[in-house]
Amino acid sequence: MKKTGSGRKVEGGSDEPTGDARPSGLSRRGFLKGAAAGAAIAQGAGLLAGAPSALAATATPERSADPQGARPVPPIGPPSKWDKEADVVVVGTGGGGLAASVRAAEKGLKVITVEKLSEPGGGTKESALFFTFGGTRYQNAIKWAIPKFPYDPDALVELVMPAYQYTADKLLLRALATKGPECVDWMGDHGVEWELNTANDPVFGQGGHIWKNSCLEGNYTRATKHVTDHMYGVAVRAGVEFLFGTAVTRLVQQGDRIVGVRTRNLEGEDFFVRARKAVVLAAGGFAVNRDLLQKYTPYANMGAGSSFGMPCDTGECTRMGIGAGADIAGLNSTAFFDGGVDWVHEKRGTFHQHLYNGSVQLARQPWLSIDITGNRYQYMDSVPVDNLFHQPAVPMSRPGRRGYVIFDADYETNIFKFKQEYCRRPLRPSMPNMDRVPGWLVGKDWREGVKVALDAGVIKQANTIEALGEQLGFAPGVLAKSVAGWNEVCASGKDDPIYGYKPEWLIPVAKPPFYGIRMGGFLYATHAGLRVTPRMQVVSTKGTIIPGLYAAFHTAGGAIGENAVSGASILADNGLSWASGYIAANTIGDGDRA
Amino acid sequence: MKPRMFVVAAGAVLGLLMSPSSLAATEGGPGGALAKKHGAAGVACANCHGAGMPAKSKGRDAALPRLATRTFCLGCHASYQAVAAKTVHYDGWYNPHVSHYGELECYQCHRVHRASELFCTRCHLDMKLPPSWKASRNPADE
Repeated sequence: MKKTGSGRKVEGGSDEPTGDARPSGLSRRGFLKGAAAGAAIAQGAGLLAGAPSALAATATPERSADPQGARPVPPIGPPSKWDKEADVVVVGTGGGGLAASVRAAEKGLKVITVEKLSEPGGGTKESALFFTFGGTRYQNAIKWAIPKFPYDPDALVELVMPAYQYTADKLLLRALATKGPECVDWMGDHGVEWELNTANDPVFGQGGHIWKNSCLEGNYTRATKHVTDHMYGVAVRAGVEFLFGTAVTRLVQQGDRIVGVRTRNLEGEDFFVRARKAVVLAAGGFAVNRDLLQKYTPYANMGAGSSFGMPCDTGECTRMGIGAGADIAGLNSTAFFDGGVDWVHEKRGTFHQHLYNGSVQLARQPWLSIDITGNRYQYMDSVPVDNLFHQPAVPMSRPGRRGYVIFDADYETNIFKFKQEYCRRPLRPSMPNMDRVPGWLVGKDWREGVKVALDAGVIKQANTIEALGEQLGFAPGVLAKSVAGWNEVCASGKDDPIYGYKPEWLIPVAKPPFYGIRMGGFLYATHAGLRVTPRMQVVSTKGTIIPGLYAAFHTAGGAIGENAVSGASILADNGLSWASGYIAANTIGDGDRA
Repeated sequence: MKPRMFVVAAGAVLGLLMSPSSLAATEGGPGGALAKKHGAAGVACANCHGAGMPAKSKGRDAALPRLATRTFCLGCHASYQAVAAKTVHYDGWYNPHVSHYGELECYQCHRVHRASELFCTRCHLDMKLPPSWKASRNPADE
């Protein structure tokens, strides 16, 4: 047993290098692939096969009345005159776009990078750490690697393939396993001040590269913004031309080759940018586009109560790739956290929510957790971190695909008894690095987000359990029976271990007012996307490479195989973006050889 | 040439700063566009257009500079912060006047002579719309 700094005991594990350095908290299936694929296949197969469905003709919250959100966007022919010219046009400035921009520029290519928002960073800046299973100079220095030191990319690929149920492309995984750590070191060479996250995470910390001192006391909010801001500066100094407030609206194709893009700026002006060698689509996935979700990841669309896709994951670049003939890899694969508060069901808010909003953090605690039948379900602690990927699968697979947390008036005190970490840890103004978090985006005090949700009626509040049950939609008597049973367990101090509750979590629901939150999973990334070669060239449905077209993750797909409801790649998510942009630029700089 | 601005009565200015509770009576509502709302508040056409009134036409003449810029509108509407204060938590957490785009030009959303379009919905696909507003389309779908 090894004690953490906080006094909690961690089973097994060790910081000392050993022959077998696998942390005991890691199960290979656990970290990489969450819910059972079987359920997903059963639910999704009919929809994916195009079978008629009750959803087809009606508008529901899960599917808009106008499914144009999934329509392919076909390329257009070249203009009579190009407005700008470059060797490489990069679309998006998250990790993939920034890495591709810098790497292409340092290979001597002229780069124009287009960003629809007014600032760089994309979805990546909202993230926390660049995860690798070994191989970076930082990890080599402490002799840490999975499955064992020294790091062996092929051994890692063999280890993870069963978790992906052999649906992933081994050659693609080998490329990611090899180039991921190389990308970390390359970014370090460019001045990114990496440190390993061992201070915060005794189980997985050796895998996580964070900007030095950016995650003090476990505040991960926007931690990667240090890295995206830095790499943006590197790109500017390398001569990359950035066009902000500029959205790509069409790929431009000549013959079978992608030769540029058409863009539109905030003034509504269209202009054409030529790409003499390549267009790199690094524009995120489609986690907020419910039409694309319904078409390519229907299980996620059913189970998601909210999505963290923010404005970056609207999927138009995915649609442009499909319009150019691209195949889709990673069908039905997505990534979730828990805490998808269902604003849409209440008709009080949007599908997209911010992961660090206080209402989400409140929902993600080990309160009494039940489904609509009143039956309890399991809760997994935030340590080890891969539980954050597993937990959403539990309510998502329950009747109605939703779970409910029930708690009482003392929640503001009780929430801290659970000691949940990472994004489950309630934000408070006193935490370090809170200046990173703009108040307009996320309340610096978790209670602000709770108040907004309470005022909107998305968090239900009632003075009796019966009234709360009615508000939440339970059949009469169901909630009262669940609460009574729960309170008995709390009084006895002994719970059925099947639920995974620690003794200190057994807090009764006793003091009015009583609260309840309905939630599904919290979708944060799509892993279905444009099929790519290990060199990030986009592959068509005919199996050919589409000349001139590249994609970085998460516009690209397939990194966690197919039918993975909630999983992580071998570079997690943030690292997947950086590394794939780096690989794409290498390929382009090497002259586009297959 | 900057349009001549007449002094507008304080009451008219206050009337223009709409509270969230009066969103039901907002611009572009049945029978009215933002121009008519201004007119009802005592702001005449010439107050914005000055002496050079454009001829009536079906659509906006792209050759004309856009009038409803931040600089222009804030000549009456106090400040961007004052406007933003009226739309706090407009839709759950989100305030359309406080965003990662900073201070957008007013015309990005507010059309004066036709239905306004919520700029946010270019990406925030399901953000709620004030009555009779349209959603902005994704530029790829325009």
